[in-house]
Order: sequence, then C-alpha cells, then structure tokens
Amino acid sequence: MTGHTLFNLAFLSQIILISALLPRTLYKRACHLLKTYPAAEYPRLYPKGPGSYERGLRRFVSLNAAIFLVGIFFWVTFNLDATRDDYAGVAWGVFMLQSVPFVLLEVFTFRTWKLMREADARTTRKAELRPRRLTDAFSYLQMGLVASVFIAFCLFVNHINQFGYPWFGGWLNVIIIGMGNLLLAGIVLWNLFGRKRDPYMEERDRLRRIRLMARQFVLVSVAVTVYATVTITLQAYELREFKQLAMTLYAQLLALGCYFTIYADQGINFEVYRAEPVSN
Amino acid sequence: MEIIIDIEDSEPLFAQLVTQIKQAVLSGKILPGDSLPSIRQLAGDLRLNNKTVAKAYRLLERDSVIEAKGYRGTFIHPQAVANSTVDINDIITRKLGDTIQALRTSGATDSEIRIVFAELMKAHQEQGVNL
Repeated sequence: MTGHTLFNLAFLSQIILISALLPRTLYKRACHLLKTYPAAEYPRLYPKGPGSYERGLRRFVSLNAAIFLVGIFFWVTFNLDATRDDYAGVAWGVFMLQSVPFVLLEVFTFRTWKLMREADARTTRKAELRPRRLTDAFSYLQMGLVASVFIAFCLFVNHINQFGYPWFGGWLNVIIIGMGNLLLAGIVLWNLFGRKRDPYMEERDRLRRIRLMARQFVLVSVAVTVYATVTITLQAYELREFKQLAMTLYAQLLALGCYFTIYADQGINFEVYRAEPVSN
Repeated sequence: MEIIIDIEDSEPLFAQLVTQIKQAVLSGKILPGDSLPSIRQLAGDLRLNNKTVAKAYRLLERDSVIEAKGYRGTFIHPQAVANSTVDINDIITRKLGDTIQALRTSGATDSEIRIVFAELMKAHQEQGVNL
C-alpha cells in the first residue's frame, strides 16, 4: 500500500470523523441534555430560551454537513487528479474549515455565560476561601511532559540543523510551537485566575473543567511537537507522500483528544441550574 | 470554607467579608497559617470590585487577623483567633462617645464638635493617614 493510498483513506477518515461522527455525537448529547434538563425545570441553563439552543444546534448540524460535502468534494478531486501528489495543504485547509463549527460552539458558550451573568438575579454570591494554584490545573507530570517534549524538539532541531535543513533550520517551528504553548498556557491560566464565567457553576466543577482544559493543552502541545518532528524527519528523508498522511492523522488525533477531554465531560452538576423554589 | 455575601444587605460588602473571615477564624474553619485567595481571585469569584476586597483585606491586616507575605500571598495571622475578638467599631464608639460627652460638659456645641472633627479628619486624610 503506497503513501498515496494511505493518505487517501486517512483523508476520508478525517472528513467522516470530524464533520460527521463527532458532530453527530455532540448533537445527540445536546439533545439528551435538552430532554433531561428542560427549560421549565432548569431555566438558568437557557438565558435566551430553549428555542435559541435548538436553532443553534440545527445550524451546527447544517454547517458540519456543508463542510462534510466540501471535504468529500476535495477527496473526490484528489482521487481524480492523479497528477498532483501534495495534498497536505488541502487536508490542512479542510481541517481548518472543520474547526469552524467547534470554534463557533465555544463562542456560543461564552455568549451563554455572559447572558447567564446578566440574568442572574440572586442577591447572594459565594466563593471558596481557598487560593487557586497552578497545580490545580496542571500536575507536575504534565508540566514536565510539555517541557521535556519541547526541549527534546529543540535538541532535535539543533541536530538536524547540522545537515543544512531549510526553513531557518527548523527554528521557525521552535518559535511557533513555543508561542503556541505560551498562548495555550495563557488561556488555561486566564480561566484559572480570571473571573468566574458561569455564575452558577460550582467551584468543584469549575476546577474539573480547568483540569480538563489543561489536559487538552498538554495533548495539543505534545501532538503538535511530535507532528513537527515527524514532518521534519519525513522532509529530510524526502518522504513527502507520508508527510500528508502524518498531517491528516495529526488532525484526527487532535480532534479526538479535544472531544474526549472537554466535550465528553459527564460529571457536571446540572442541579445548580434548577429554578429556585418559590418562597411564600 | 465558603464566603457568602449579600449584595442587597444594608451592611457594606467589605464589612460582610471582614465579619465572615473573622467568624471563620473564631469557629476554627480556617486556622492560623492558612493561605487566603488573592484579592483578584476573591473579587472575581464574588463578582465584586477589586477595591472592595482590598479594603476588607486592609482592615483585617490592620487588626492582625491576616498578614500579607509579599509574593507568597496572604495568610491567617498566628494570633488571629485572639485578634478576631477585638471589635474596633466598639472601641471607636466608646472612645468617641466619651470624648463627645466630655466636650459637651465643657460647653462645646454639637456644631463646633462636628466642624473640628471634620477638619481633623480632613487634615489626617491629607497626611495620607486614611483607609
């Protein structure tokens, strides 16, 4: 089986996984939540009313379906066009497109939290009298893993540089990955030390979500560093056809990792969104 | 240990914080040497202005209920239990009451007392001796 055929299969799997299977799983979970925690009993969960969520969900499904079709179009084109052998750019472009609904989902979540804060009519507010620390988000093992993988990558780049590797000898990758790590760590720290986004969320749930986010950061950081190492190695050995395969596998690993760290979170206490009992 | 504040309570927000931290120390829910959240963290969690929490912390530090240790954070003072029973408001009320009584006895009118008191407070504020 050639690299071309493997990429062909992996690219198809990328399209199906990220634009069909994961959105379907998320859709089913959202429907389950809407059914289990209805607006009548849990009004705090729906500051804009349940209709807006159902509309948003339908848009999420439609957008993914459209992207799925675009992906299939590129996949068919790739199969028909035998003259081109470098489709890594296309697979990456499709992955970027596939990320759009998930980014919009995050924006939607932030908007919902903002509306929740505005609609929160409670006069009492609670806070834990305990300082949050960096170790509440990252374990020492996770911090050590990210640091050692990054240092190993720097040593690898330094090694490969001796053989005249192009693109600034791989140091450009080091800078990009380093800045990416800083950005991701910044997002986790912003959530850890910043203002409370969801006014109803319990401290325990908040910390668990931050830990999941940190785990996601570790996964993304390690995956991107390993991917860059593999790409540089394949480039150095002139195995370009496997480079595009590595790219699409990396995209799928990233999507699955993000799904299993954040979206598959089952431990949220939804009782905090229940309507307050009417006092006489 | 949880802090609960009521934004519609007649008691000022900083005073609610001070009272609850003192009560937590007295009841043993927080012990001498325990660390407290940063001003930013507590203000963020309670959705209050940083200045409100800073004022509460300043008053607690003045009363030696908490102590700031630079970049390491804020901790419960070793003598916090004894110091939490001292009610500064009670001392102020008593001392000012005695002074007003003495001034009235010596013939000063209420408006004279009020004017001099306001001027003295203003002078102290200008010297930076305020909270």
